[in-house]
Amino acid sequence: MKTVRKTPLVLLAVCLAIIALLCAGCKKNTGWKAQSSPAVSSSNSEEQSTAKPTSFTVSSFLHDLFGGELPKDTDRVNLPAVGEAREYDIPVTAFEGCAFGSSFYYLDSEDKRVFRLDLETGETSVFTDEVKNPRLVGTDTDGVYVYDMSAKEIAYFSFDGERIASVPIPVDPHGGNSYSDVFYAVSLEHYDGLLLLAVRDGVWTLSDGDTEWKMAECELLNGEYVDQAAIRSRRRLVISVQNPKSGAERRLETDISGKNAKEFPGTYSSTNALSVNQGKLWRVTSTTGCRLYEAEEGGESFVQMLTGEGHAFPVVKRVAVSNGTVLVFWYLSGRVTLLPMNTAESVRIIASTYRQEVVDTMMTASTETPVQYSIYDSESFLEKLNLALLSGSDDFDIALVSGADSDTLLRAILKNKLYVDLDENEELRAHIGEMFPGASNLIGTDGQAAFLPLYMPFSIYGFDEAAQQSGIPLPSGKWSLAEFKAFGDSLAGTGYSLFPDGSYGDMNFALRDGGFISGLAQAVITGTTDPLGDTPNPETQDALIELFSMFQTWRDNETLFGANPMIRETAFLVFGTPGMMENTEKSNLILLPGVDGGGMPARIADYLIVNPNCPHREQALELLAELTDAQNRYNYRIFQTPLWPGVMEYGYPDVSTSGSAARKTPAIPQQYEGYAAKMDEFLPDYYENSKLCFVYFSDEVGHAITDFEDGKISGEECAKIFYEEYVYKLKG
Amino acid sequence: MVKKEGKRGFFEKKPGKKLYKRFRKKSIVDAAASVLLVLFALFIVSPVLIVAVRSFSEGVQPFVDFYVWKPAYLRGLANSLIISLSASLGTVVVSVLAAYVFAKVKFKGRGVIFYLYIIVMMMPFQVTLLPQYIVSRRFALYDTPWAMILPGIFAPFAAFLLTQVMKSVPDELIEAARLDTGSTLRIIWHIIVPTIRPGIICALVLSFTEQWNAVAEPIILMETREKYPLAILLNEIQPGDVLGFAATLMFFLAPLLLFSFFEDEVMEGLGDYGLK
Amino acid sequence: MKKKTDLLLLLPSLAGFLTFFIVPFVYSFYYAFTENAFTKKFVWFDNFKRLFENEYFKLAMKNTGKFTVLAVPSVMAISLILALLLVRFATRLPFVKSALFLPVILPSATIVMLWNAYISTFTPFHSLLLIFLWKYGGLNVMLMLTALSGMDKSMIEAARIDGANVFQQTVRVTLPNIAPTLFFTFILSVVNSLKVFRESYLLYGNYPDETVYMLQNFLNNHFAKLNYQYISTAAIFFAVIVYTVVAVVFVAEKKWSESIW
Repeated sequence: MKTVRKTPLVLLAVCLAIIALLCAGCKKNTGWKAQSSPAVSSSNSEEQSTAKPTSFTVSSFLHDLFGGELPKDTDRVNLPAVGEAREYDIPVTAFEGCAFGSSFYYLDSEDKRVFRLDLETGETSVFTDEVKNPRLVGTDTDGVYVYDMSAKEIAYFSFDGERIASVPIPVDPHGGNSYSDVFYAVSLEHYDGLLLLAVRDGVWTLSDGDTEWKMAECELLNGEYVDQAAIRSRRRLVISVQNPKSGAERRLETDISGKNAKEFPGTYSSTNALSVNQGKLWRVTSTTGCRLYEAEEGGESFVQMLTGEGHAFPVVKRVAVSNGTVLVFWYLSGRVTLLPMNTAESVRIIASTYRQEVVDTMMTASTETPVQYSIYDSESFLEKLNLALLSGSDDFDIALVSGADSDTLLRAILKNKLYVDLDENEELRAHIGEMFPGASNLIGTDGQAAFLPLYMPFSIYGFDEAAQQSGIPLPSGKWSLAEFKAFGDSLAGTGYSLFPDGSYGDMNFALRDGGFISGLAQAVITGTTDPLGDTPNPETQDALIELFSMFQTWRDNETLFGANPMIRETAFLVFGTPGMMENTEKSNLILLPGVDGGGMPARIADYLIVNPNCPHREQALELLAELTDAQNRYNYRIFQTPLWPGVMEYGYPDVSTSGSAARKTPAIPQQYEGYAAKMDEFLPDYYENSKLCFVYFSDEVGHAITDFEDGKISGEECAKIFYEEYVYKLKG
Repeated sequence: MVKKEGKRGFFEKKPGKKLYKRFRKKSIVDAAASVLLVLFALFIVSPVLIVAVRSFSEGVQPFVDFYVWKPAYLRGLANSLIISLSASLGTVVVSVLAAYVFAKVKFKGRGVIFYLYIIVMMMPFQVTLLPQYIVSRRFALYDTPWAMILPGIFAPFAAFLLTQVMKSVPDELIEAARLDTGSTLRIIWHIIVPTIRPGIICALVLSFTEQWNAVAEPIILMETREKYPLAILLNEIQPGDVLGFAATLMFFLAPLLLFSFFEDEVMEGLGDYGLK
Repeated sequence: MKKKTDLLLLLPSLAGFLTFFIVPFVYSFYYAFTENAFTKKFVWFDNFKRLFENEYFKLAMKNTGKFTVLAVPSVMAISLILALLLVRFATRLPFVKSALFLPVILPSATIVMLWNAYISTFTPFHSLLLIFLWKYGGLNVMLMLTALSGMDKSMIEAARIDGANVFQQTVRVTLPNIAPTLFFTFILSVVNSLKVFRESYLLYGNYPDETVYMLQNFLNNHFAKLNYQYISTAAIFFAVIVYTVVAVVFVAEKKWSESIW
């Protein structure tokens, strides 16, 4: 019986709901623009018809009934399509403007009228002189909106220049009308029945037909102010917020009420201009040249560089994108430029959260190739990458792999030939040749370049000045294990030791826990095995035992570690780290004896690989070629250790300069310049004699070394532990 | 709900111990065994109590900070709830039908298929990881809650459990019902389901818990942070962080509450129907 | 009369199961017989040979087997004994039931956090064993308890009257009666003993001590090396073992429960 009684109630509720909706759909037309319907004149009819659908369609019916939104791909700028760049001159004092159709409306700080530039002919004319002090201008499919600071109102004009309506600006919540201050209002936009006025404290919106402005309460932290705002859709706004003290910028997407804010991912550089059209959000930054970005789901994508700046600053004030054309208005430069948009697909880079800044810098360094990047949680990144490689996915073009576990992956990639030979691109091949002279065995196999290293943990050893003046004959360059043994034996009774003991120099930490020993063990292993092989070489164990017997002899006769070491690690961190080894300038740099009669085990920590199944192979290689050119290869934000000759040129691009990245903060402090020069000379030898090393040891081995040094275990036992660990990692 | 005849909650007497005949409810041995049981329970729970105490060491504020104001947490909670509830409800529905067939319908290959279910249940997930990834991409499930929900619905565990449960439903009951109606579905819905209701709820709760705590699968099959279930977000909390303790405590409160509500049924479902 | 269309009821579960579990599983078989995941060269049983020669695979199987063989009977025996002793108090203390179930509901990260302090006093193998017992002991106790309390007492009475002592009553009468539950618990415990990998991973990382290097470690590490063929080969081998074990136990259980009639 209960169910029977329910049905009428339900029906009643549904009816009431429908009635309510109908009422809501009929908007009260008493507010601003209520009586206005733009006068349709013949010259503008074309512009009008592309806006609201004029014929009856379901979407227009719903749009009117429920106040829904215009279809997303409505073009609210409607620029003419251009085949090549067009540049138009306007007065240098033009400071603000907005485009629609083939008109660009601009404001002149000297002449307080609204002007119009015809984008087809380049002619300028006066649009209207009915405003006292215009400061902002915005356009929409139904007319031109002008913010008049003296009259404290926003005036609405038809495309003929006829004033149709006006609305007073909102009242400052702090009392008074300080919004009429010249620096206060920053953005004016109208879209699909919503008018937006952004001021430094916040963002106000007014729907057509309403009388009350609504303020979007976005959370502004200490000292922040609103820099730009744009209407994304009738319900969502994009707000760019800046902190003038720190220079940091946030971009938010919020509701009209300021709620449901979502942070916008994107580059770290600050926004010059924002623009929304056809559902897409565009942004211009100027840190490394004027660049256009398209905001996408996972992040931003670099589209193209903007050129054609005018007579003064290369600062973009306004940008608009439509019909494959980009319109750029340069601030106080007297120029409007129309550029064809770069429609090439972007190269996609993936990385983990640890390396976001690196890929970001890569994106901002690219000038030709459109680039986009996605960031994944560091926990799952490697697994996802493995799955993508195993399943042959074409999801990404370039991957930045980082971290200690990455050498497992690198080995697998080399073994299974899961790479793109970087030598395919000639420019890239040349660059690699300059960066790694004679080191083709380092970055690939069979003469192919498989990956691009970004960060290699470096160990450079040398005989410092004291050692050189000790009178003991020192080897130089390459030396075999036999020579190493002879050298070590020759130290007996001299008071000198091979390696330092405890802390040394200004650096107050001990290297005694076996950096040298494990380095030499790595060298021996690397020298006796095939890096890509699956089975361990029985010779390796013998070689290790031999090595450790040497160590044991020296441990027992106290020439292994001591206060007068001959061999020191000279380059720990070159960049700006105080307390480097004394006398590094005078060090005689050497290679470790273990690898093939003298050479370094080279471990790669961060590297870039190109997906063999990627959809944009050529563009990816071109991007890499650009990143390795003479200017970018010394960008410390990307390549993080001095990896190639020209060490002195390493630096950070100075972001406080806008425009080109000509200024750099050098990464090598002045007092180490001599050492840097020495390293420059040494690097070619280093690379030529380096072999890829995939051996890494865990804490357990560290304990073994400590035990060995303390005399608790013999050399042979220690060697066996090393070997077992190596086999464990290889086969387990 | 059909209660079985003659089923009692506990023995009156322990067989073989003549002592018990002399004592009734308040015997010393009773008390001793009670204490033993309580102690055992406390032992099991003790690590959790320690965590709970520690999480309150800084007062209630961390809880408030964490839960009431962080949208990321609430979003993760919503995701977890959606995934876990859908998967567990779905798996129960699908598995009840399957269990009926496994338990009551003889057909060729029944044993083989059932074994298949058991074997797959035992497989470590790395085995099917790559193919499942490929499947999820091909069916456009990747990075949607469906990537977790669908495999959850068809996971063999519930079918296994419910088959065991179903075996205890007497055949005569079904035969009798078949005289009233020929439709098997109606028999299942009206007769069998009420009979094995505890078993169903048990399967529901255990499946829910499994999905709620799953960390490995979402990490692989999902990408955007906003869609992650709570288990992953909490994985990132450092140990030693009071906030983390508080968060974790609240995190397993959900399955705990669910379980407490249905305690009795879960018990019955697991034990009672192990009998043929 | 059972209608043949009843078989259709199995269809949803089977269809989904096939799509999401069997097909992926079988698809991975394909890798077991190819040289590596990228070339399509068919190499017959080479991979199996290499797998069995890999000492770490052997170690993993040994450790996994050792763990399961130790853990499962232990947890079943402990819970059975406890249940037999405590069968009187199954429903009297409500919160106890929740308490015994609690560890099962806890996520692994929490468990590791809880146990971090204590595990250093045990060897890794024993720590994992302890965690396993702690986590599933309560669950099994409740399983047995309810099975025991639902049992038909009259048979035990009959045996007692016939002169059997407690031990004989338990072994010859009680246990066979709850044999299906024992089977169920056994399967469940084996499955759960494999899940201990989650805690092992959180505690000991990718390359744990050699005593706790288990099958899943092996699989995980080779996945990171993109050696997918090892994974599928090991999976096939493991599936065969599991099938055999389960079949044996199933037959044993059947025989045992029938023996009381």
